[in-house]
Amino acid sequence: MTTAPEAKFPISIWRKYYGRVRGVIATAGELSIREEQVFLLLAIIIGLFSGLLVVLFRLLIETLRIMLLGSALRPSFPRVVIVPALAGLVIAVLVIKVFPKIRGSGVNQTKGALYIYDGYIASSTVIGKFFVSALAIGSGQSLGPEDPSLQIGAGVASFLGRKLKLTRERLRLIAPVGAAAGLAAAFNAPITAVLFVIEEVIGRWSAGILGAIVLSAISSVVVERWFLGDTPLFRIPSYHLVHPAELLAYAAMGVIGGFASLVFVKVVSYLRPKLRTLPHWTQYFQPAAAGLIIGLIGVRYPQVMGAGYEYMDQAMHGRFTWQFLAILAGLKILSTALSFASGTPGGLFAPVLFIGAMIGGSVGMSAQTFFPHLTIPAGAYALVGMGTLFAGILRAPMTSVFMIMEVSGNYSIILPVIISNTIAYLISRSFQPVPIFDILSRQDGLDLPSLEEEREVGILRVEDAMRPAPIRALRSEEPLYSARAVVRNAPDTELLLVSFPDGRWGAITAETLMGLTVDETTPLGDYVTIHLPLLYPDQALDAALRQIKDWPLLPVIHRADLRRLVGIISLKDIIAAYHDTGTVLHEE
Amino acid sequence: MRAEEDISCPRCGKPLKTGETCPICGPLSDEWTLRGAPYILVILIAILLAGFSVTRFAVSAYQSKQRSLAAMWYQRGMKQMQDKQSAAKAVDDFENALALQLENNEYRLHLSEALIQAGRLTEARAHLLSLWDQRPGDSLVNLELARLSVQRGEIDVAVRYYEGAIYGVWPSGEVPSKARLSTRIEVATLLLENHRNQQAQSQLIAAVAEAPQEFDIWQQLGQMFLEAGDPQRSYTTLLHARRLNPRDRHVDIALGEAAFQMNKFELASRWLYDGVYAVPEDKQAAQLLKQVNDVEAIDPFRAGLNTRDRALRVINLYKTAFARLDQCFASFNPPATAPNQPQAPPSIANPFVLQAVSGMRDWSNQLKPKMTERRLRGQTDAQENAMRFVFQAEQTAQQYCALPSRPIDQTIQLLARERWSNE
Repeated sequence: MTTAPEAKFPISIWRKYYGRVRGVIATAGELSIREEQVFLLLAIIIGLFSGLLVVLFRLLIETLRIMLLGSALRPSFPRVVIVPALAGLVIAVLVIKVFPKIRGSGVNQTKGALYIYDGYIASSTVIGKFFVSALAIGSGQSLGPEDPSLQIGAGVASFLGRKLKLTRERLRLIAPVGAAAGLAAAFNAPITAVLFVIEEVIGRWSAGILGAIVLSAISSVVVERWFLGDTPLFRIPSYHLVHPAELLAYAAMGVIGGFASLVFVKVVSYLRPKLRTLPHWTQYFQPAAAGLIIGLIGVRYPQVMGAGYEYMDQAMHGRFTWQFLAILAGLKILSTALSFASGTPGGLFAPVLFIGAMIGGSVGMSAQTFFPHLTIPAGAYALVGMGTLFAGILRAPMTSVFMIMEVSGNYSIILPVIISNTIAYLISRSFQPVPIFDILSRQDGLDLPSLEEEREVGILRVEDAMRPAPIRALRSEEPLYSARAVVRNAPDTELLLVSFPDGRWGAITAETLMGLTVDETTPLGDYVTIHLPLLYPDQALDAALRQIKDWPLLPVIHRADLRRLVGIISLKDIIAAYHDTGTVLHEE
Repeated sequence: MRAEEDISCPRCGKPLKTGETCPICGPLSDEWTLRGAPYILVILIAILLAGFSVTRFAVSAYQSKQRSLAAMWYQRGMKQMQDKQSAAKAVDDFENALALQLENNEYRLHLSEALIQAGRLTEARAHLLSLWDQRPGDSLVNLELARLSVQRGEIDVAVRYYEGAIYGVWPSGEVPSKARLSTRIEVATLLLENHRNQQAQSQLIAAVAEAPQEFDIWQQLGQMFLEAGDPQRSYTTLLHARRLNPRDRHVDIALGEAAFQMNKFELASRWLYDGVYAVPEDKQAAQLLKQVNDVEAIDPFRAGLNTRDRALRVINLYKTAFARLDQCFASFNPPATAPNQPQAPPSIANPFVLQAVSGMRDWSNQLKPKMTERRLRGQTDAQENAMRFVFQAEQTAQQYCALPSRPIDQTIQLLARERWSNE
């Protein structure tokens, strides 16, 4: 009996190509690939993995929600009370016994990986965050999926970086790359994710890391959109600024949003350490107690449960009265503070957006009620409210502006968003100098760099340390006798700075100059052999420190006239400037 | 602060003491070497492909579940919608469906409809506007927005959305021409209700152009033309309707009305007679027929009258007009309330009015000697002149005197309308 040719075909194909595939892999192994190239490729792979995991994470949350609370927006009475409490017990056991590192903010844990742990995020943390956060949010705890998504992305990146045995510097930076991917997929908003990671995690714009972050964010969003569609997170009616007076209403919302942000931050930062100081056994019941309270609130106001994106959509479509929206905002602050402070893993992003949408909607609806001539739709207020609270609570003003545009796909709203966000940000910063992420990290015993504080620290510049040159700079075309006359007039001078027509600068010692036995009319430039690095007054002092090396002094040159000496700077001057600043900071 | 026990190997996570090197991974390198990276990348890509497959499967399963749940809520909502009392419950159901499939525009549209039914117009409008942002050419969305605007009293906005609906894209379930026609009829009705007859007429003209050969539609359009003040088109349209269904006698009444509006009383009389005969319960039509018959009864220009009857009719009408004018003049100069009191001054001080009424009296006096059967018989010009006086006298009396209008006066006015419109 003969075998059918179709049955043989796959085996024969495999035999034929197996050797070739091995050969290709072996050749690839011998290729000379630089780490930078691998890093960029890895960023894409991280983005793809993060995108997949975030999609699965979201599916898990939704599936658990439907399983535990039902598919209706308003769950039935027994479920709404029992489910969050029982789930809270399970969550407490998992957090205390199995995944102790999944408590707290994923943003801070990513920052911790970057600044403290050389990019290390334990894989168990990622697994724990994935399942326990999904259970928490799906069971109705008032938390969001974005923060865990961010940490899942960072964890994936850390894992892959370790497996590829990247260098210490790359390994450190890999966690933010993954964080951007996770956040981008969670929000379906790559620009927001990139900005947030730059603004809140890394704190600086660096070309080396920026490319990787952008690549990972985009690739994760591509995956997310591939599976879940490319529609924006929110859909609001089109908005047009009809009259400039409308901006006053948005400014008023900025003020309200600013104070609401303060309330939220104060409640969370007060409640969290208070609950931690309770006896250890109570920690088993804290998430359950929080769940029970949220469940009881949910009997009347189911909107406060879970991430609440459906209700944000409803608020944007004028679903509720302004009084009801205000109540929802207040209850959400309470329930989120309870969930987060009880150690339940989950994020603050969605609750912050929820509170913002409710406050914004409330302001919008009341504006329509009391000032009917204002034509602004309440949905626009709700959208701006989200950005306002984001700026006020999370203190990422740039991200907050771009986030609103990106998640809504509405670019005409930028002006109100900027006005409202700036006001809320300034109010929040005035009354609460330490941002919430820094408060949380300090409560966790980590002294992570505060990027907001760093942004505020003034940069020392060359002009802060330089001093005037004691003698004029010489020119390379000057005859020797002229240069010698300068030295004779200033006998203490040791080093003379010489400028060349092409913008270079050199130096010659007074001793060398005076010892030359050549024709006095010869140009000085012929005998200058030392060429100096140049500094400009606006450069950071750090640049001067790097360049000064063994030079006794360096010239500080005018940018518009490269032969004009503005001043000179020495190592002693630099150290004195740093010392003075340090003294001022210490005294402050 | 960084706690001592917190330090762990960045590669394997093994807890380390400060300064200790990981016994498994060794020290962290500041230089990267290739060491198997391509193999790992190939493995990663393989895992990625597997991950895509798993995620695809999970997403499909979830979306299928989500769709079925959303469809379940949607069906419930549709059932609730059928019961007009349950609009609020339908809103909840549609919201549940929409929460599961936020991008489903059909759910959002039905939610809007339920919200309109529940009287929650602001919410409905917001949902519709967000749909409109996505699909400005969607006829159903435009239609709902138009209806909503009507409820908000924004007629111009409503007309704009109706136009959007008419020229937009209808969903696959709808027959576009039929839907367009019904929308045109809807907008025309709105315009008629708001006395925008010109705009209504243009909608109706367009509607007639695309109306199918169905009696009901043509009859409705004919009636609407009549309401819009275009009896000519109304008559033509109704005539076409009658051709489509000659047995429906209601259309005869409508044709009579149209003919009446066209001041073709003889024609109107014919249609109304047939209509009233077939539908005797239509009191309004019967009244109209009586009016028409009254006109016919006094009309001196009616075809078939002999010269004597024609002259007699003119004389009767002259007498009626003369008496009317007399009454009118008397109303300006009421008799003294007591014999010793002086005559009251004219109630209308306007000299122009007095002059006009006096002028008419002078004209009547000039005509009076000619108003005999003998002198009028066969004298068409004299008859014509007398009838002009009759019509003008009636008009003057109506215009300047606060006298109650008698049936004969109304009939004379109708006669004047017919005469002058024919001229």
